[in-house]
Amino acid sequence: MYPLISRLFSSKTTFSKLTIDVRKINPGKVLITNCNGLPIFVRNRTYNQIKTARTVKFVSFKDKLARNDNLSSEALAFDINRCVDRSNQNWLVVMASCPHLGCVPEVTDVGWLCSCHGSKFDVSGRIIDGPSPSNMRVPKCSMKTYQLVIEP
Amino acid sequence: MLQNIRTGFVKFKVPKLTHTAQCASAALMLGLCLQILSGISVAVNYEPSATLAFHCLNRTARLHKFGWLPRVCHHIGASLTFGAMYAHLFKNVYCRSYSFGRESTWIVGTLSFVLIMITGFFGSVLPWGQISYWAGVVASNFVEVVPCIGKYLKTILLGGSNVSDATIKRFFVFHCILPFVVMALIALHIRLVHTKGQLYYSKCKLPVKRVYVSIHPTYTIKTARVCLLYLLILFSLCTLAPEAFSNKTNYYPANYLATPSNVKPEWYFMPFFAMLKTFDSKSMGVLCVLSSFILLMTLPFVYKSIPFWQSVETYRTSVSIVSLCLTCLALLGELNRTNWTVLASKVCICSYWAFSLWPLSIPFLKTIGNLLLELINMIVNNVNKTL
Repeated sequence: MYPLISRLFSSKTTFSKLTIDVRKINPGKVLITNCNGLPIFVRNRTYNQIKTARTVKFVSFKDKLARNDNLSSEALAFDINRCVDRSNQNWLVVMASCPHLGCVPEVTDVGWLCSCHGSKFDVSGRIIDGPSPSNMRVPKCSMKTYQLVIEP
Repeated sequence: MLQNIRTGFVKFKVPKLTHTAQCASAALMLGLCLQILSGISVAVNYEPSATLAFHCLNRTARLHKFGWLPRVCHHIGASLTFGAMYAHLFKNVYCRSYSFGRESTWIVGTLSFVLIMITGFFGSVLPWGQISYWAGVVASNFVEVVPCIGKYLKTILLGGSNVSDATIKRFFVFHCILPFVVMALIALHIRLVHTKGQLYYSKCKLPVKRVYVSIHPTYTIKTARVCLLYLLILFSLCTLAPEAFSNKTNYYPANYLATPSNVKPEWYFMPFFAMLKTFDSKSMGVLCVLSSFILLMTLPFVYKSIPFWQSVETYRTSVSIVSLCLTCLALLGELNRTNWTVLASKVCICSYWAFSLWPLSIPFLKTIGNLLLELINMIVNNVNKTL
């Protein structure tokens, strides 16, 4: 009986790493890519965008946690805790599904806008306005000499 | 067997004053049978796979002779069946057909209504166009809010953590199995209707003298009329306006890297979709939809406290207002989510609940009224004494 029921659960899929050469993404541009069937945004942020993301007051964040898989679960949602690492602060990698109901948000100059129910995210992927309960998740990723490795 | 048919369909007595509009059940039954027939015809040409589903449906529709007919018939038939079902539901709520010991008939009927809705949802994902895919993603995310088992339920439903190739196979299987469960429930429903009889409905306030006649020819002719009307609408829509109920965005194959701007389900899910869309938190929306289904099922028990003939007009007014609220919700569900639509749908939902649950408040109102009267009497007595 157990084997019959266990087949109803997901069949085990092998999760492979995804390597991207980030040199082809110009500043201000966003790449949407697919890693094991999950859509992912890779954003090369301009200096001004980073500056605006850092001038936001911590009190005004709707979700105070960073939601970054590379850091501990208690890390706070400062911009420095959301980018790839300290030496690559212009790079932002987030899961491209809205934490509300899984739609892929549209890219705007100031961040993202979810067309399904109108959640707005800033350029750091943090929720500003709308029904989304949390910030967009940052998957496990690392950067070495322009090679971005993502393992969600 | 023949004896059963004879007692059930030939000797069966029905109220004499049956209005033609009350035969929506016949159209519903015919619609469901046609759905199964056209569904089999679509299924034999269908490939449940994320890469092939969209193209094989289009291929069958364009290259095979009359390949478009079963698909269009199935799609438009679904809308018409839901139309007939809503008409049947409204008629039975409006006439209070569930009273006088017909609770079991009612519960089996509403259960099959919910199952047909679930089947319809699984079917709407199968064409694997943009709208189908994203409606599936959005709806399957609502399963997560079920406490404790939500995550496992989602895994069983989707065959993984997200909507993928495994999902379409599962949905195809569910969409093929559930109609037969529905048919079994409907057989039970009809059996119960035949054993417990139909409600004698009349327009006037007081019960009239009841005259029952044989099912043939009074009922059969009216049924045939309704069925012919149904077939006429179905085939004229199929041939003249095959895209009457389809969304243009659904002609693009599913792309999981881009969500279209107007993700919405078919019109028959709209009131419930609007309820889900109104609330910010997922669990509130799901709770609202689930409780409205539970309310529908327990309607005979909710309205038990009000006597049948005394408050007919109040009851019918409240039923009309409730259906008006649901229609407004359906219209609001079509619009994009703004502050105004959220406010309007909240008003609709509140009035929906208020007008459907008011009979429950009658005992409380009575006790509160009695208490108030006692209080006033006490005060008056005290004032009199002091004077």
